Amino acid sequence: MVGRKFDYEYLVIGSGAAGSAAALLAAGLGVKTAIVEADRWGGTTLNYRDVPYAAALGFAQRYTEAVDGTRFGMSSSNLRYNYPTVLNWQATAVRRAGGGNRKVFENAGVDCYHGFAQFISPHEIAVGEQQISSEKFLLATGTDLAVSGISGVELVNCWSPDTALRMAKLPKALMVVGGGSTGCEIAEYFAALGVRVLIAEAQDRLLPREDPEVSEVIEQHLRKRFQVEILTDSRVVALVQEAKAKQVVFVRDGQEKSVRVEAIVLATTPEPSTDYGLENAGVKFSYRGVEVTGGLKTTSGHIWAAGDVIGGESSTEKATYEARLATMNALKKVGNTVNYTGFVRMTNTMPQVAKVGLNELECVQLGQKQKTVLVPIDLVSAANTNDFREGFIKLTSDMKGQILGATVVAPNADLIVQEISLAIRSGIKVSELAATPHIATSWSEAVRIAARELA
Amino acid sequence: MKRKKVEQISFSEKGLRDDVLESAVAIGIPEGTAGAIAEKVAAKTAVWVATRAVITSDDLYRRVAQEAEKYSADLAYVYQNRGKII
Repeated sequence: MVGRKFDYEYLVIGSGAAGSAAALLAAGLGVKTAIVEADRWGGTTLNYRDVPYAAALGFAQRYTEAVDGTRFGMSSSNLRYNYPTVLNWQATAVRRAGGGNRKVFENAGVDCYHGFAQFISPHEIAVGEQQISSEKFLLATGTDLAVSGISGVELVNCWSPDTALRMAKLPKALMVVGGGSTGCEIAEYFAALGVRVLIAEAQDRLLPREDPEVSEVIEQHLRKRFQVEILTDSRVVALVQEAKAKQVVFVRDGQEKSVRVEAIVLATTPEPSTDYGLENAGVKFSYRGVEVTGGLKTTSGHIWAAGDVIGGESSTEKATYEARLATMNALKKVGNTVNYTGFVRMTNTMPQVAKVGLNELECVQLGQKQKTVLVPIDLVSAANTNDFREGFIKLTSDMKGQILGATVVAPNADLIVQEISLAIRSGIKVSELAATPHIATSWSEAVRIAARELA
Repeated sequence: MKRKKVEQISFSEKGLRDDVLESAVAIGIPEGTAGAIAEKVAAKTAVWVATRAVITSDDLYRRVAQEAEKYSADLAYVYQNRGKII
């Protein structure tokens, strides 16, 4: 029941993965709920990232397989694609998933406000000229592009990961700034469509958070199959708009170098979106994100936060999980704390990269004694029948056989990794995984081989 | 439901520029430099203010402090502690 003091019991700021899950759960619990969205309903996940990326990368990978299909008997000499249709396909996928559609919330009984929310006091926000109060809040505002340190970025038109897939016209040459998961996905997508792609990464390899073997496979794949020019140890310091091109200036081995391209995508590490008066509500935050307890409560006793705004790994599953936990803690005082065991970090290149639990690097950093085995996927029958041999499964366990983590680099890595995720969450040992029958012609057979070697 | 009456003031870039100039000169920044800083800070802050319909005065001073920090830590300090320094 709403006290006489506030307009709402629960107000969610942001309608992405976290915000949607929270608002719909709260409304389902019979709580008077509102949601505020500054951009498109459904947030980044539905409109700009997970859904359109899955549609776009899915197309690019199918197209690439068809181009390479001659060896299987396919005749692909006249194969081509229609770019406007490719864009339409992405838009269709977004529309079918509910992107831009506030009815999802309205039908569930959630009041919707479209505009930028600004805290003006601990229990009040302004959305446009309107002031709305709530007993409790959930912050689910995601991230923004972070481009400090690159001179000229305000004067040069660049694409971001949210907008890059919607280029109306394909450029002849494209520079991707940032060699993390998103950068590699974008690089592969445009290269598959025939664009000349360069990718710049400040660290000494692409996907620097993964184990070095992952970087080796993905770099080789991008270079060999798509002729992507990989510039590692290259920190982009400036962008210059010229008459017909854009100049990208980077520092490598202490020397300043530059390249000229038609388009630039800034796929740098995003930063949590916190510039909306959180100080007025007593919420503490830093460049890493909003500070929260294990139960996702902020430093302000009536405000919780979930999703990318609290920092850490970014994924839709994690955001949704956090939002539900925070909402139950806020509304039902359940007192749960987050448990991130088993969450996967994905890179949707081909081969895909799926990492769960601790990798070898992290075990070493934590001083965790471990045993690790790396099984190349060309050991399994699926590599032969699909004629695809790039990748491996790296499995790590403790000295007693408890699975600590895995990195899967393979086609369908997102499916292969799920059993390992379950094994980690359930405390299943390598010996049990090794004893579990796996389909002999599947990629997952590599998991059984790895477990057997480790057991 | 009773709402607390809040005084609303509209933002003026010129007003902010004059304010920053005055503060900068007061803490000993030479006039020419102070003028240049005030111009840049006010312009950047105005761009930020334009993105939101309602802000508090604390929000404004925090933003001014953030912009001022690029040019003068002392000037930024003044705005970080606006209302607190006697």
